[in-house]
Amino acid sequence: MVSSITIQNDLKELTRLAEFVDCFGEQAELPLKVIFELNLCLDELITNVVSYGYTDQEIHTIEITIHKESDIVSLKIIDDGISFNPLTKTPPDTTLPLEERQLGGLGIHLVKSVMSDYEYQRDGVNNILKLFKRLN
Amino acid sequence: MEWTEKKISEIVVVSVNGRLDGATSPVFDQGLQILLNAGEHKIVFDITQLEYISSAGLRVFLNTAKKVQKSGKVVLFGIKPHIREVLSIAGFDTIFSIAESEEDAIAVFQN
Repeated sequence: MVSSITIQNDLKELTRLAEFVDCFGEQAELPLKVIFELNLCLDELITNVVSYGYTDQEIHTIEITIHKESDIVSLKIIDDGISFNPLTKTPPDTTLPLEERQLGGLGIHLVKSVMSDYEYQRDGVNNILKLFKRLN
Repeated sequence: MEWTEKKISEIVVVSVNGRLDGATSPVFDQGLQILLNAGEHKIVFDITQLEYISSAGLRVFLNTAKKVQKSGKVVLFGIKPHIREVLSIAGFDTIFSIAESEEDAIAVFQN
């Protein structure tokens, strides 16, 4: 089962994206926990692209595909933002006490924690990021 | 995302529902700044009705806790299992006081 959505580089699109993920999850009969985790990953990654991916003020489109086959769910995100593999960022130290905690960097840490594998490719003007989650 | 605030003695209980994501969290953060600027520093977050949280929402809790840490505290209660997982991955279960009910959350300030 596969489904795609194209959104604009606007944080307001996150609501529509969440509806798309919920709808796919229901049709593919995914566990609620997995639907929550897919929502989380897309929210984190798309928020990053929209917030930091563009050097102009133009409208851009981002294409998101969800695919489920046997016990693997995959996400593919294609954007034409600046060349950037978010998954290479150093994770924050989540053991530090409150006063030393940094406010940033948690999003990618969450993504890497809930997904099993990932691939990044720069293809011409596009970033292509694929993430995989094994069910069970 | 919507929230309500109520004051019990010196403690403010903020009940937030819906989604705390990249789009809604900045609005919530601005609302909390008004409380903090008014001098509130004993904050209980009731997240019984919170359906979803991303790192943007976590940052709001972290930012609030950092701002009140000298004189006050942040306590959370009503955590759904999938939200507990996110708090745990982020290591927030070690830096926040977590209570089981509003009564327990308020009792944290009285100890």
